[in-house]
Amino acid sequence: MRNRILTATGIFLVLGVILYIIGFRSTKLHISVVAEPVICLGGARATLETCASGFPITNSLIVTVIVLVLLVLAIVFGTRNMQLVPRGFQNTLEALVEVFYNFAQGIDRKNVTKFFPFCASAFFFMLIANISGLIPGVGSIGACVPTAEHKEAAIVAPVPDVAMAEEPAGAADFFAAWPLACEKGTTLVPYLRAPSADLNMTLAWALISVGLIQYFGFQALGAAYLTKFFNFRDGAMATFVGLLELISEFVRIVAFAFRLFGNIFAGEVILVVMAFLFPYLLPAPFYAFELFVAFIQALIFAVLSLVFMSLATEAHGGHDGHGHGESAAGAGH
Amino acid sequence: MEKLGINWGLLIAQLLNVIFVVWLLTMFLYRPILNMLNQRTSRIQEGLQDAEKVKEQLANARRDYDAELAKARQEAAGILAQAQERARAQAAEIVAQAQRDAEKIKSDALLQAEQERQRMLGELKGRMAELVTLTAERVLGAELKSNHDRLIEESLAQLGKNN
Repeated sequence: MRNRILTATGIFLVLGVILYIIGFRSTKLHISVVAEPVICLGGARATLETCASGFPITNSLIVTVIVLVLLVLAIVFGTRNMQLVPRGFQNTLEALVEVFYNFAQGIDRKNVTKFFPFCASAFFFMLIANISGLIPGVGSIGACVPTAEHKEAAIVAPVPDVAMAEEPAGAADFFAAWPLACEKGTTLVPYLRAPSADLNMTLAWALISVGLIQYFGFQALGAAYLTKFFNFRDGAMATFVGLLELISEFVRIVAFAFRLFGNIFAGEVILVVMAFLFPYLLPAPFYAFELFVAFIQALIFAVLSLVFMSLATEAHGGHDGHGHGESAAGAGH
Repeated sequence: MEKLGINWGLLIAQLLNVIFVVWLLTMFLYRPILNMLNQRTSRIQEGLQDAEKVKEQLANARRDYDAELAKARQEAAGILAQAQERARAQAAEIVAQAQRDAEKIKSDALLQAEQERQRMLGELKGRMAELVTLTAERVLGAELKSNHDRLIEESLAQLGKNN
């Protein structure tokens, strides 16, 4: 078995090197931080990344809808005909929900019914959303949009791509002559993009998560929740700590949003760059790693929300665990 | 914000999406599944309790059965002893009755024999007297005819004494 794996890898590597030397690879490297609009609903495109008017139907929005459809399908097929003795897909769904429920119960037994719906939804939605970016074709199949034209006609300042938006002058792309390849002066706008690689999606989840944390805090402690932030009775130090707590609440929004976005987007960038550098075999370990990241980031978002909610409902004096949570969050990637 | 691709329209769309996802999953996934899990838990608990109850009932039944059996056995033994007692009593009574009957038969026989003897004796006496009279008549003849009745009486009395 081990020999077979080594043999296959070796053959593949030799084949890849030969293909690489022949020039059977793409020299285009296009990375966009922004989810590009595929169409501008009721308007016109300004640049590659923005619409001059109308509502931008971005590629990540399309995948968001696809993920929703998948969730609805899963619900329909999983709970259509609930049996006391589960079998098939119902069993899978029940196992997933039960595992996460028990996990949430382990974190906060008292309030699990309150926290569970949001956190579990975050986990399941993000799991699918994160993995969707790793499906072949997502991010590589799209429409060719003229680059130069729009840059001149741009109303807002054109946004430069992170890496090389312009093709390198000398090297002609191997696939340029192939059918469906983008012509010179146009750039590929993928039809699909992982929702997690779009700040709108991560920020929306972060806002709702932090909003819910405050809501549960007020619900559990009433006005006493505010003394966590405005604590003027226990001296200057306590006041300062309280203000730091207040700032950290706002930082959480940014942290939540950028942790998820950064991890997933960075994963895509790594895969693209690896495919650009040496397209054969090299991206495979990174691909496996990104699958792991996709899972772990969904889990981190859900669990941090859960932990913060649990902390917010605790009466004063619960900041020890707090700092740990934040530092663990910082070490996310 | 623009450079990061944050767009108010998209952000609001995603916020609505988040609310929709949470609502959708809560209403149609977590609630039915957690209900089902609870239902299953209670069913299993019920089943275990039932099993425990049945086990207990079985043990009870077994104990009842054993007690009943012991009682029946005891009763049977009692009945047997009683019957034996009665049989013994009856046997004794029968034996006694038989003895009594035998006694009675014996005494009856004795009585009858005595009566027979008496009767035969009486008959014999009459016959003897006749014979004696006849003999005396023949031996003594006619002269003794005047007081022979007194002689007969005397000899008879003598005979009776000897007897």
